[in-house]
Amino acid sequence: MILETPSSGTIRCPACNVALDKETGHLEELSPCPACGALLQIEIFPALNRRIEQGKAAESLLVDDDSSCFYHPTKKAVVCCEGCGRFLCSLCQVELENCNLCPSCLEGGREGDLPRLLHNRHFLHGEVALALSIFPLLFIFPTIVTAPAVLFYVIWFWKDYSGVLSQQRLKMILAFLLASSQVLLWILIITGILLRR
Amino acid sequence: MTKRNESYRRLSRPGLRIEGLFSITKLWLGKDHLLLSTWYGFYEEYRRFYFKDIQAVLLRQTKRREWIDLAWAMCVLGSVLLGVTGFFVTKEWIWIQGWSIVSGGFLLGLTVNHLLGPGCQMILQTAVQKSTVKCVTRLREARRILSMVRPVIHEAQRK
Repeated sequence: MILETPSSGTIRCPACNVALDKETGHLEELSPCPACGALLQIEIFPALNRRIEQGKAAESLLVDDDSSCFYHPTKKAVVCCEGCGRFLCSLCQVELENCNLCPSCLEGGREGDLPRLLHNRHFLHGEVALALSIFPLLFIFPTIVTAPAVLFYVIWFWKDYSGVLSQQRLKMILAFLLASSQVLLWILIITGILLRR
Repeated sequence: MTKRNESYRRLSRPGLRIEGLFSITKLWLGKDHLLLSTWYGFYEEYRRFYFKDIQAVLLRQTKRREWIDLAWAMCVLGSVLLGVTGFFVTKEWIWIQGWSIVSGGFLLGLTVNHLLGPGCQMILQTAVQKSTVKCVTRLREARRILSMVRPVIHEAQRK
């Protein structure tokens, strides 16, 4: 029997893409694919056979006194957006981390402060600052420009240091210390030259 | 304790990938999802697999260990041949001594690779995507990860 569900829950062999039968699907040890012989171990979870729930349809306004959805004026509002306060119908309501949001707040949240689980990409300022404080050292003279630039960069992005995973603060501190010592060294060198004259 | 440790626990060793761009992927265990992070130097990308959405985990045994074993064995053989050839040409023991150290390093690589166990490909399947976890390349590691996530996935899907 082929494993098919409404949510297209078919298990296919990663080597030959042939749909695997139920007997093959519940293996706990390696076993050959009946079609290509690739050794497979498959762990199936209940979600494979779960029917995906259909979204609720928005209710139409019956009485004029009812609040209407900001995006669909003819639909009844069921909830308030916790980001902007707009009334939303059940079609526009998006629930995320127990928080009701409207599509535009959700879109804004990708770049802003809204839930971190919306962040799919993060720029790592700590890595940039550290690279900018280390690599110019190879050529010495560029540090006269890059060291103050790193100090400025670290101060500017100090609050935006952290990605979902990477701890960038330590790198920011390290870059700041390196750049500070480079600036200090240049000050000493320039002062020394000026004093000699 | 850092924020990273509070939110996520690393499941896999860092896996290097060279596909167009040099990158490092890692698999993390979160509160209600698995997170696959890819580091590209100055930015990171994330993919989330929620426990309630994971339909299946597929492991496919690959020939990775055998191919890497072969590469190490070629290096061992090559260094031994160079040492022996150098000795016969110059009649100096330094050739044997020098190249035996090099071949010893290659032999160590061969042993470590062999002991890591058979290679594998790990695939996570949800209703909308099928994704290969490229940082998990050994069967033993994949089974260890599977044994860790199996109870939490079942727990999440029971609700």
